[in-house]
Amino acid sequence: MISKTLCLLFSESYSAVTNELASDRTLATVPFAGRYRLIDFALSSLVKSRVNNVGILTKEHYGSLVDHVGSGKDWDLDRKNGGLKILTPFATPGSETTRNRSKIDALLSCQMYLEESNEEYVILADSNIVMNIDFADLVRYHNDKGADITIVYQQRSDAVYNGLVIDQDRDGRVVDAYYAAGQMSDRQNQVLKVFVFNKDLLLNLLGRAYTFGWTDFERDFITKNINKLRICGYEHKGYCAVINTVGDLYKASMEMLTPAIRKEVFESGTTILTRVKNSPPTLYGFESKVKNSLIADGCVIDGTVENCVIFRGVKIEKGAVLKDCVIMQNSTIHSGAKLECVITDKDVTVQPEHVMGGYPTYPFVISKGQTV
Amino acid sequence: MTQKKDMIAMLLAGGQGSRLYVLTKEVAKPAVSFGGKYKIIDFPLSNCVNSGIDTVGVLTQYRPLELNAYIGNGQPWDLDRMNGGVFVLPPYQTDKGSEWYKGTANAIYQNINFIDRYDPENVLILSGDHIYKMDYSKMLAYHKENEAAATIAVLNVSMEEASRFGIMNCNPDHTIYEFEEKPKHPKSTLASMGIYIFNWKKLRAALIADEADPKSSNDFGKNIIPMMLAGGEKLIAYEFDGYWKDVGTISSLWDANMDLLNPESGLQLDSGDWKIYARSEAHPPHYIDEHAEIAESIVTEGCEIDGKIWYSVLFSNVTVEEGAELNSAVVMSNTVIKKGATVKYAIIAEDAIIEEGAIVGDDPCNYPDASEWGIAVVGRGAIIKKGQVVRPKEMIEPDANR
Repeated sequence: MISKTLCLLFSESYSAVTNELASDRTLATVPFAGRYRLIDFALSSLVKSRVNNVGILTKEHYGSLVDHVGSGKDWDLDRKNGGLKILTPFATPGSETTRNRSKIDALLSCQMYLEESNEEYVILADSNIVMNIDFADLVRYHNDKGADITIVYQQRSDAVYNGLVIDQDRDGRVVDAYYAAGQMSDRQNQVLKVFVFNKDLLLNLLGRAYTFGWTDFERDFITKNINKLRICGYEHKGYCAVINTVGDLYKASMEMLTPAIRKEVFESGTTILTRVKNSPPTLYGFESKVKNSLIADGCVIDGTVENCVIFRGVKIEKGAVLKDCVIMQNSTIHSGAKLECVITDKDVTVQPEHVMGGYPTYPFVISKGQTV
Repeated sequence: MTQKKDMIAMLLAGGQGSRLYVLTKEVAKPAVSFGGKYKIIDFPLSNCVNSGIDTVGVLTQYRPLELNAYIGNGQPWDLDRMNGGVFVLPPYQTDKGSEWYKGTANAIYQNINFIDRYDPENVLILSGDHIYKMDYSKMLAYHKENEAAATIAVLNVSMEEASRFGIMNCNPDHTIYEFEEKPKHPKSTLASMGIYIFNWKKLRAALIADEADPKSSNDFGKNIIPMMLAGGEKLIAYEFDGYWKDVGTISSLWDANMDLLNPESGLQLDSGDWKIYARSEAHPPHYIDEHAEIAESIVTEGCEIDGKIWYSVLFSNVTVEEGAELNSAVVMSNTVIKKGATVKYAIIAEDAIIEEGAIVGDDPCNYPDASEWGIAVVGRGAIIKKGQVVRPKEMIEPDANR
């Protein structure tokens, strides 16, 4: 079955949430866990599950995505048949409808790609989800249940969640779907925005969407059809972090410092693949004091680092003190600087003796290329 | 139709490297790991690519499996090319029989057909056992400028060291008039680095003549160079003044690893303009736990560290448990150092396990008689059981269990 499956990954979430780290890159390429981009997790699970035909739907400023995935070589997705394709927005002069305002627009612009493919099943997935999922098992479940659409969900009790929630009957069929009401403390089946569709059904729905001007994927494709189609839920039981805001990123980054979570994400059989950059190993100086931190290659560390995630090529000078920080590629923290709960984007320089801080619930973000 | 090349490189990677003992029991010397995430062969291969050479023949013979698998299609070095790229060239059979590579010159002789395919003006001969960063394009420019038949890269060594090397005796204009292999009383301090650029037509003729001589040992240093000198060809020395180290012995391999920790050594991996490429698996960043202390050390991705580490080089995926102590140690990929184990002045190869409380190697200052001390070596996959001691200079065989 999995050989008859293709996957379309959305490089954006099409939600209203803003994320400073995704202002000049796609959400898919937000850096994570020292050397990865968010999309690496979805791509690695797909490769592990032998889904060899992957299209990435883009919206705007997808340069970082093209740069990161390239030909797909680092994921073993540079293939003669299938492999990885970046599907760019399809716009004709003066056409308003194909400007990728929504997931449906994005799917409409690659309708041709879908029609021409031989696969029977389509996985639609957001690329901002950090998890290892067995897509082969998901598609098998979809087929076994005789479902038209399968929705991946997780039972969670997040304090703040306003996305889609589903209720199922005993057989796993979705009987209700609605938006969560902000604050909730009970466990609920939160939708992870990974779906399996029968391809013919998806094309059919897209045809209608074009005719009737539908724009809301969840409302028009899912909730409207609960009674008409057989929609099933598939529970993801393992670790999962959906990264929309900077706060989500910070929380998930700190979770990577927990051995059990890190082992599950990186050592449970799915190698997380990413672009290989050939950085030399990290060099520790005489004055370095490091505790409970995740540190990538290519760094030079001579300061104090506690509970941090340090990306490739970061320099931390003697006397600099970092606590609970996420420091992204090629940033330099000069001597005597003190940072707490700070996220620096790529290429940031913090000058000597500067003191900065945020709160665990609201980390202070320094944007790309800035010098403080 | 292959395109004519200005220069192609031939990399001699067939040697066993017997002075690396247990480290080369199962792999050829060029495939020995170095510096956290590299193998020795990454240095000449990366130098080639960085110097604009896109065709490299790698001559293998001894234990080629690891090397073949490592080089693969050459993609990590950007040597997967439409015209050229990297080729692994093992000895082969012909209608006249089959022969191993008898010597360095014979290895090239047996691959004359390969070189002729590219019809190169010049051929660069390299060996796979040196750690250095060198721009061969500058050497080629020098070779062309001097219209030499052969250009030999040399390093100015000290008088004491000179008798360990092949020495080039030169005229003031750097033309070579004599080659002496490991002379007792050296006349010059210009040591051959084992890097040659030959005019291909002239080398081709010399190789054929050398092969016809049954008494020849078919070696570049011993036969080809003296033969060309005797024939009145212009051979010239190209002086190199950067970092260069022959890592053919346990102590020199350990030294070269330690040089990475010394900013004054001249060996730096992170200089951006001359990257050393390696085939690497995707590992997560390394994790430093609560009890760890690390100073003056190199740590590679995938490691999990909770012990104390000084002056050491850790390769990918090494685990150092709480209470373990490492001092001046080189620990290769996937090795586990368990609780309370001590590793000092040692090289531990891949996939080894040093169990709780075991001791490997010791500090030279505990050995007043220097001849009793040396680097301790644990071979690939070996297990050093709980509380066992591996003394300095001792070598533990691969997959041993003690």
